[in-house]
Amino acid sequence: MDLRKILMVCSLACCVVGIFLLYTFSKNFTPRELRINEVSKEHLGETIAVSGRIAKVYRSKKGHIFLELEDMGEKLSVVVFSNLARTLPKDVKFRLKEGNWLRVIGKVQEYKGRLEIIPNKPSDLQPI
Amino acid sequence: MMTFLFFIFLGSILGFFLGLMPGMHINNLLPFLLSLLPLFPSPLHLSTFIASFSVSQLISSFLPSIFLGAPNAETCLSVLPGHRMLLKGEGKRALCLMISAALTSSLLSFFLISFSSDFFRMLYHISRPYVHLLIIFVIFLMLLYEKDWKKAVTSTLILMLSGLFGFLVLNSPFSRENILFPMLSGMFGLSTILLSVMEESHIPEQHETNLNVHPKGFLTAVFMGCLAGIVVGFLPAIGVSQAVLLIQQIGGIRETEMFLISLASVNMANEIFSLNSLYLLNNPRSGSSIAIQKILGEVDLECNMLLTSSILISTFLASCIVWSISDRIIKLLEKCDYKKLNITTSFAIILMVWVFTGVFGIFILLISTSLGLLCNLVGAKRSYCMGSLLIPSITFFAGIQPIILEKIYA
Repeated sequence: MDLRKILMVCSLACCVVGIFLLYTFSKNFTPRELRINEVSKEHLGETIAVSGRIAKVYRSKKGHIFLELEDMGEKLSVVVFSNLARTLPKDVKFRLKEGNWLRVIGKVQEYKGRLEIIPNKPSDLQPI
Repeated sequence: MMTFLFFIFLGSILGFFLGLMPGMHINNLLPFLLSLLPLFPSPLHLSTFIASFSVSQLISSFLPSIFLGAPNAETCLSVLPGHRMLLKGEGKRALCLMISAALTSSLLSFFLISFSSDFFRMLYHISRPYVHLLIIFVIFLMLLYEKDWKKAVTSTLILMLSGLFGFLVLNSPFSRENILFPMLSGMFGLSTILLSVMEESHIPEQHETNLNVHPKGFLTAVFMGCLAGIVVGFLPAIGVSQAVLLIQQIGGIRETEMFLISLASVNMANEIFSLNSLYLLNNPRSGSSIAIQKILGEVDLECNMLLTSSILISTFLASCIVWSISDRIIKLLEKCDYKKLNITTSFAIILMVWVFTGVFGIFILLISTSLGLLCNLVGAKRSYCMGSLLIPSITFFAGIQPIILEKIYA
């Protein structure tokens, strides 16, 4: 076998094993559980889990859902984009109401100077 | 007025140096630049400095992408055609084409943005529900142009593999802001450099520059690049590289030269649109425009005109600097051991990836480099590696991303 063929087989093996490991690591990832008052700019880009009482719900015309979670007087925005909002199970949608408790897993992002958390799949929103 | 010119000049110089470093992007420095506000006479001075910095960095990043094969996210697709021209002794011509395109595009972009922003807004609203179909159509065209069915099959496999890889990386909980850097550097940069080292390629004597393109072809490629760059500005999930592939297939751009021209134009138009989006849409579209919004709050017509002037001045300045040092760089490259230079560049890329994205970035770099090597060794075009961005874009615009994520991670 010449060098090119060996390299081709190694590259293919490295791709397949690498993609499999990437999938396995991501699937078994456990997000850090934080209180709302602990979330700060140093968590930007990190996937975390927070829980709180839904203080405010706003549904935009485009189908996005904007939630405000509250815990011990501190608030944090949760943005559920329309792509995700459409796929939420009925019982979860029904329980996205002011006063209910919710656990959210998502990436911390900053928008117009405010921190927000962005879930990306239906199971990231867990009514408690 | 003189102080504004001073800060535009300073931004252009510093942006030039930043663009020379593979993997460095103005976004990495923005928190630091924002902290410099007290040192500037006014917030507007810092804003013009950031705008100049951003544009100048884009133009000088053409140099490492052509001469070192070390790209950033915006110029990754230029590595192969630019590098190919360098190995044919036409590196300076490649640079000249990209600079000329960037300069022409900067003027044309302002013209198009000023007179047609309403049209683009309308186009965005009409096309948004069909973007995924447009991308699928482009992929179909790419495969259709393959010479035989064997190549089409291997290309499809590379596309699917890179699509799966891109989808997992972009949606991984470990991914951070700069994750595109190791992803694209591996597929387009490091794999090319490794092959150069293996094949012991050397830089031949570079010929004197002659643009040698038909003016009509040049202007068409610039115009299409501008249109695509502005449309990309409206569509948040579509990047510059996807836009280049779109116009390459739809516009029938086949020659290396036209490809480089359209790539430089898309980049420039996108940069200009992003900086103008604050005034046009009151919505920032890039790291620099977010920073400017933080500094200025709202951008009125007067501020926008000042920012526009600073962009134009810095485009011109950066182009002059890049052009004037290109001869020295070529002489240096001709003299130095190209193999050693390639090895040094590889280490520089690995170091930058480690600094900006940590161990996870190195892991991604390893997979993406293997993917780039595999693509080359099976004889598929490297643009199929763009499946890593195209496939996630399709799932995003088709609205099926949350469903897929739920299925695979449940």
